[in-house]
Amino acid sequence: MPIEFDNNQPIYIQIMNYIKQQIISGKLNPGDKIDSVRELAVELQINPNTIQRTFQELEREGIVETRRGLGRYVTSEEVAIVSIKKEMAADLLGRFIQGMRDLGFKQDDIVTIVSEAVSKEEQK
Amino acid sequence: MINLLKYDWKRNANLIMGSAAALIIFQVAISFFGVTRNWPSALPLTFMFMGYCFAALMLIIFSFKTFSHNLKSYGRRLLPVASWKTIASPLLLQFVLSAGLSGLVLLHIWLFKWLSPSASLDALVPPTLKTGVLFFILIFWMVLFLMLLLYFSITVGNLFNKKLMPWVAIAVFVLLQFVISYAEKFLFNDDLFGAVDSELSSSSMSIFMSSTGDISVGNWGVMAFEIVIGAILVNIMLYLLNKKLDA
Amino acid sequence: MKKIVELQAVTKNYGSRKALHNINLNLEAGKIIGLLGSNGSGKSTLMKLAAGLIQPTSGTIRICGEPIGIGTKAVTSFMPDQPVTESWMRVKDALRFFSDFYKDFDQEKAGSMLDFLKLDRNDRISSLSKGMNERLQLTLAMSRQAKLYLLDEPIGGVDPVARGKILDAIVKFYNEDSCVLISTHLITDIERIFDEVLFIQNGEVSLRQDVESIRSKHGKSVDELFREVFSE
Repeated sequence: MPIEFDNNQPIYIQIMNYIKQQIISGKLNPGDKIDSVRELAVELQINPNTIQRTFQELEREGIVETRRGLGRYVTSEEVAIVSIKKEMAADLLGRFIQGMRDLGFKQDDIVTIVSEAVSKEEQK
Repeated sequence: MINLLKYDWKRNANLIMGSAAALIIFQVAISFFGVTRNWPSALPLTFMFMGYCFAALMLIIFSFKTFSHNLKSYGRRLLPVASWKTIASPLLLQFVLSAGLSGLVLLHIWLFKWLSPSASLDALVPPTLKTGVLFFILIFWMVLFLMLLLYFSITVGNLFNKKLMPWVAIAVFVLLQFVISYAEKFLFNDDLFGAVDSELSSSSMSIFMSSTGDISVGNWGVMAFEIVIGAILVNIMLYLLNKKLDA
Repeated sequence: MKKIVELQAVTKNYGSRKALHNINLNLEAGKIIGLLGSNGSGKSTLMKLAAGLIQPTSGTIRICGEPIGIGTKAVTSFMPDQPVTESWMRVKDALRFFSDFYKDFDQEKAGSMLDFLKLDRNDRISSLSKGMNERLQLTLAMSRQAKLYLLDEPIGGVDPVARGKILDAIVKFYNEDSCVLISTHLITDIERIFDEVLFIQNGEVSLRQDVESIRSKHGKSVDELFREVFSE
């Protein structure tokens, strides 16, 4: 199974994040066709209505669009995809910063640590 | 209905075919020893007769077992099939098999006559066609009525839990026998059929016993009475199957 | 939404033992519903009543608006806790048996499900392991185009690998206009395929909830909620 689900969190949110991640990581490209509800339900062993709800939410966020009689596609509007990227990055950063603060780091320390880590990563 | 019959047959096909083979081997062996060992002709005839009676009894037991199995079978009770077919299917199978058995008996009699023309078979052959037909109808009804009583008893028995079931079924059966024979004696003054010493057979059998001559009207009354009782039993069974009986 | 199952004041007693008490319940089309409860809580009894295998002591049951009878049996597909096949049958005989009696039995679907679950048509049912037999019973139940599916512990006796396959099969082969009721005590493995769950305790429905709202409102899995409710 491609996702490890956490039964304590709403499943549709977890699948939304899974699809967003696939878009960001380039596994799904703008304009790609998305699996049908039934296919995804079988693949993930999830209730089809939950998948349906996931798609509805993704449509509302403008990430997925339905073309009549053809199925669902990842939006080809770059803006929407950029905004997911920003949103997910903000989410990740928020959690990271909160974690660092919990460890007792100050704002400057965090910036230093991050820039050191990034430059080390680049040297590799 | 034919589908139900098919599966009643398939479940028991091996047993039935095996028993049929055993019966035929038994009958052949009896005839063979009868001829080679020079038994008095009455002896193989008696064995023959007993063999076929035993086979007929087996068919009764088989039919009863099939019915009671189907009452409790999830696979059967879930089927979208009218309840009367649950009753009719094992009965029909029993009568089809009985017809087969009768055919075997006739074939055997014919062979017997052909092989030993001197032997007397008068005891087995009805004196006239009319009594032959009557005999057939009466045997048919007698067995059918007996089966309905057996089916009814096990249906009522199954309303109770597993422990009580056989006792209730036996009690219902004995009680029905007693009540019906008493009622027949009371209504039709049927002397030949004592209420107390009644066997499994129904009293319409008595028509045959007295039937070398005429059939008295009273005995047809007995049969009509039994048909009414049978119809009532079937309707109660259908009600129980549809509304009360848990699988 | 279209009502598939309607129970009104349904009570079932076995002799003096009360199995279900005054159940009122409606189940709609398009839902997969989990029926959760400890052993002897009345899960199987509820299913057997809806399937028409047993009769209520009082109350009325309707399937698709009809009282229980031939008509409702024709649209209800039940996988009970014991086989509906007979021991003399081979797998192919069981398929034949179903297609002889159920007009909605789909041979093609059954065939692909057999392949999916790795069952051989020529195997004798009496020689199948418990897990394989459960797969067969599930195949028979799911290969019908029914309005109501009742699956009693479909993953009870099988190993985790087979469990995955069976869940796959349920999601893959169920029909969207129908209602699927699944009883289980193995909640974690299966809770993600439910829309709703019904908790049944001492013969009564103690809770009915949408599973995603259990997760979003309580931040809990169905399994956790079940443990809480039933430890009381």
